[in-house]
Amino acid sequence: MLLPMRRVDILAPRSRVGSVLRSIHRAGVLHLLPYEPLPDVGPAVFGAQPTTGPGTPWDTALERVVELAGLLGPARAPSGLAAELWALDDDALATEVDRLATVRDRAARLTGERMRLDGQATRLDSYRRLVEGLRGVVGRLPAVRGFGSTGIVVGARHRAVIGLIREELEQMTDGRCEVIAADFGPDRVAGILVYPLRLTSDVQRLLGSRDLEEVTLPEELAGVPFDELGPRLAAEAARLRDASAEAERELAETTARHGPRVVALRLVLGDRIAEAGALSAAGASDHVAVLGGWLPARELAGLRARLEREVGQEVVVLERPAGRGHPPDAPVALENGRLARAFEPLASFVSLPRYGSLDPTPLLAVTLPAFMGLMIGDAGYGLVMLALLALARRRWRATPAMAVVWPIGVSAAAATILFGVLFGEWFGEAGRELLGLRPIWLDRREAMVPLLILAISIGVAQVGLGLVLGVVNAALLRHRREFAGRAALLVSLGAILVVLGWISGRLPDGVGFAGLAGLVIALGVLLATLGLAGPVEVIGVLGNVLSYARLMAIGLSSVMLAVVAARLGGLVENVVVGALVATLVHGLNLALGVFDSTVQGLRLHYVEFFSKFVEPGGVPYAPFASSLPEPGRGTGSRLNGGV
Amino acid sequence: MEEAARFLAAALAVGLGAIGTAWAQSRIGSAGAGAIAEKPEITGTILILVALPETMVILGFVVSALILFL
Repeated sequence: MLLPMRRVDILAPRSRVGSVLRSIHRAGVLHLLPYEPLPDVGPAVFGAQPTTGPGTPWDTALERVVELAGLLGPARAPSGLAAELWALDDDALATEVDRLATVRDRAARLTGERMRLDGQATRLDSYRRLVEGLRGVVGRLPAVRGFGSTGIVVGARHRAVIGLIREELEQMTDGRCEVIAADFGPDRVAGILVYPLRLTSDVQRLLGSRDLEEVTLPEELAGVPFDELGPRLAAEAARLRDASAEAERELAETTARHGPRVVALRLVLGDRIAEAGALSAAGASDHVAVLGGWLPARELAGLRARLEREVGQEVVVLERPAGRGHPPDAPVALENGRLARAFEPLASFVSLPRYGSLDPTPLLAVTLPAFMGLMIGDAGYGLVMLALLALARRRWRATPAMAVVWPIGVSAAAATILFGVLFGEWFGEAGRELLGLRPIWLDRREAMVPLLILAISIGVAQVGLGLVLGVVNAALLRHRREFAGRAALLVSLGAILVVLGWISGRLPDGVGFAGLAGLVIALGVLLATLGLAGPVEVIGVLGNVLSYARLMAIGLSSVMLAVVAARLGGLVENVVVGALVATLVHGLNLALGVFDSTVQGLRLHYVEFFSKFVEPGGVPYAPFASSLPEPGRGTGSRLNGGV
Repeated sequence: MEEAARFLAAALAVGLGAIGTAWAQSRIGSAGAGAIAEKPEITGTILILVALPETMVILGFVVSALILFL
């Protein structure tokens, strides 16, 4: 159902508007609107609150805290600490942010140090691997003080590059260099260049212009004989790693000590920025400020009491009188039972119903699983669906998606099992042949015409119900033309059914003539209300009804594929291979069945059913709520105002 | 001969409907994919638009069932 809403204006002394906003923010029930003049109050009294520019004073503070949170890594804020910070006034909060400056410096230093040490250790490891890989040839290299070395690795296809580099290096150093190269792994060639240390930057420039993997030996290891270089490099890399681990340990200690406060500050600053933004949407005179918005009717008394308790009696909550019809800016909050709540995102997937109209969610919660069950209609498949859902729930129990998928999936699986039992289908024919399970109601392989009649009857019932609800909706929204048009369509549908019954000889002449008269009158009303499009609408309604034949068509394809799976498995002489083939085809059929029945079931609702009564274009209810959990606030978290 | 013509008519009713549906869905699908890339919030509407032409093959199926079984 759609919760009844109330439009309120909250008036407070201008000096107290900050406290009012904070109280409203914590209450989390008011859907704030930009300032709009009060009824019977001239624009000269209140003007829009002067804007304070695009930013707020807290933007920079939040940026700094977010940066620090990124340096410190994940942490959790205890709710008590967040509440304590939330209660601070602006000056105290700013002091809290300033106090973190030393923590930020320390965290930045430790992070930078750790990155530098890790980078150096990685570089040394690369060089060590190079030296060890070329152990057979590096012994020929001179170990002369004042000379540096750089290792390079190129793909085997680009082996010629090393020769070019040798030529350029000899030119650059007047021949005072050495280049050793050898195969390094199956598809790479490595080389070590030895050159005077003073030319290091020139050599790096030379190498930088080419697509090479290069690593330069640190200056302190220059001149060390190459056969001693491997162990020296390993020891140096280990020392660097120890230093990096020490920096990481210190960072973890800092996170443990300050992380919760940083996370809490981040939440609180986010809230302060939201409050500053909301303040700019308020109206204000010299002495009085006014905030306006919508809230569920049942929350009104609670908000009044809260404002009186937290701010004082000088705050007045004025409720605007409900006019005729429903205002277009009224937000929509859906509230349904536990099972139906899971269907709310599907019901409002295409468009949220307008405030004052009917909520299609409870109907969808009943008919969508029933349609899916009717289309898949195999008890074995239903049991597999339940098992897969149970596994998924074990794995992703805490995720929000599972809160939606689980109720929908379980109800669809239950309907699939029920229809499977009625149709006598357990993995197609397997139940019948192995266990002798027979259909209780219909054998879908043979009863095609009864199934087609059943599907179209469901169409008549659902489209008819949609038109009845459409008439009710038009009456609720006081739309006279829609009321007359939908009533005429409803009469047309009924009259056509009566005339068909009369033509087929099942109804007496009197009833048939009455039906014919009803059809003519309904067409006249449609012409008057919708013009020439009116009679075309009648054809559209008949098309909607026939569209339900897909319930039978998809069901038939599902049962035939299940039969194919069983027979294909039976054709193979090897039992194991036969079972594997049957399982694969059944798996494909189940996947297709679940996907197709979901899409087609939803399509029948969106196009054929909802289009008859749902008034689209609702505004989602988005209460101005703090990111901190409010003890005792139940309504806000249970309401679903969005798509 | 009459029986063969009946089966042929039933096959044509479904087959031509399926071809029409497939052609319409291919056009709507490609245009819809482009539209969703520009405005992801219209995904729901596009899904409905893609599913709309299926009515043609369903109606063809109904006609085919009427030819075969009535």
